Amino acid sequence: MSNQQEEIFLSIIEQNKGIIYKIANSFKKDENDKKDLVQEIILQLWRAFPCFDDRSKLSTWMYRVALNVGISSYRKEKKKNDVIVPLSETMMDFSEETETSPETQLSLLQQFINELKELDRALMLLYLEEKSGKEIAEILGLSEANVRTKTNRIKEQLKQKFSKINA
Amino acid sequence: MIKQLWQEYDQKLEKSLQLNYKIIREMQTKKIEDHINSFRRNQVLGVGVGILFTVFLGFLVINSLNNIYFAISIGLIALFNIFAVAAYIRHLAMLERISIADSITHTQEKLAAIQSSLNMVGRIMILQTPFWCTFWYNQQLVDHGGTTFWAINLTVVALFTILSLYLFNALTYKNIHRKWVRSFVESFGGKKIIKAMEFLKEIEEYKTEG
Repeated sequence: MSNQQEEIFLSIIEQNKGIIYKIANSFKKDENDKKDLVQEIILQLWRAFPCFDDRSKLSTWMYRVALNVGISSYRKEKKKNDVIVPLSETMMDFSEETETSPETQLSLLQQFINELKELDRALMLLYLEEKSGKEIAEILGLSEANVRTKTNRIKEQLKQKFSKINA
Repeated sequence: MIKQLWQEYDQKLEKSLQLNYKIIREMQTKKIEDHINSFRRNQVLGVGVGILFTVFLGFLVINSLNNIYFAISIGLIALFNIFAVAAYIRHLAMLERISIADSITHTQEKLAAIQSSLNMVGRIMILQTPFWCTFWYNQQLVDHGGTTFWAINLTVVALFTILSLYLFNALTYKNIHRKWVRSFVESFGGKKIIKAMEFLKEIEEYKTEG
């Protein structure tokens, strides 16, 4: 990868660091596992970057790679020796404020999302990131109608969970 | 309401997340393991061990052509192993064709399909069991073994044949709801395979329901 490409890649990661963290946070519970997943998503994005072409939007490509890595990693059992980069030096550092107190609504939302099945979780993350139905369909490989139906179903589930808690 | 909550989360992350550029740049030179490649590594190991074992079996067959019973039994066992090696090579070729940048359902379906097909490899490998009961036969045993000896031996071979055929038919995803089938597959390291088969079914349903 040339220096110019490297700079472009780093700026893409900088602009999208939030979603990488959110995906890691949705597919891993343990803090060290989250750091590993962030590392793996960035590694796979790095590897796939030279093959990226303009046929799809950059965000579509990025979400596809990140979610594919997230789901694959979630479905695999954790191996202790997977971590090669020492944990004291990780690719993404989050300060203490990142974690909200368990009483907050946001924490509940995260918890509810983490309870969804992998594909529903991916869909909800994309919905919350304000991706259009068309782009969600492209990223997940579903029809737009299917995405609409599923989004409504999951939103309804989340609403019910919130109303149960607030009742 | 949930989108508003999410935006707050976004703002909070924006402030607190810091990228470690040094480490990201170092990725080019460091050997970093990844989850996707761990499956590939196992398949390569399987191919390596399988080839060595098949070569060993081939060596035995070539050097024992004077004992037709041994040569046929081991030869057939070697064929089963060649099938397994071919299946693992096919998995590696399929993995090469999978793009991590394809749609989620497409990529995950392919990955789960490869893992699930390991179940088929296992089922076919079970069919070699009866030949492990016959490789020690020789002409002298055939000529002078006696009725009782052959009655017992052929019963054992028949039992293993029936058992292996039964297992071949039973150990499929459609029977995974049976407790013993699940336990059997799991006890032979097939937990991930079951998960993959379940995920494959889930993806199929996910794509069709709407």
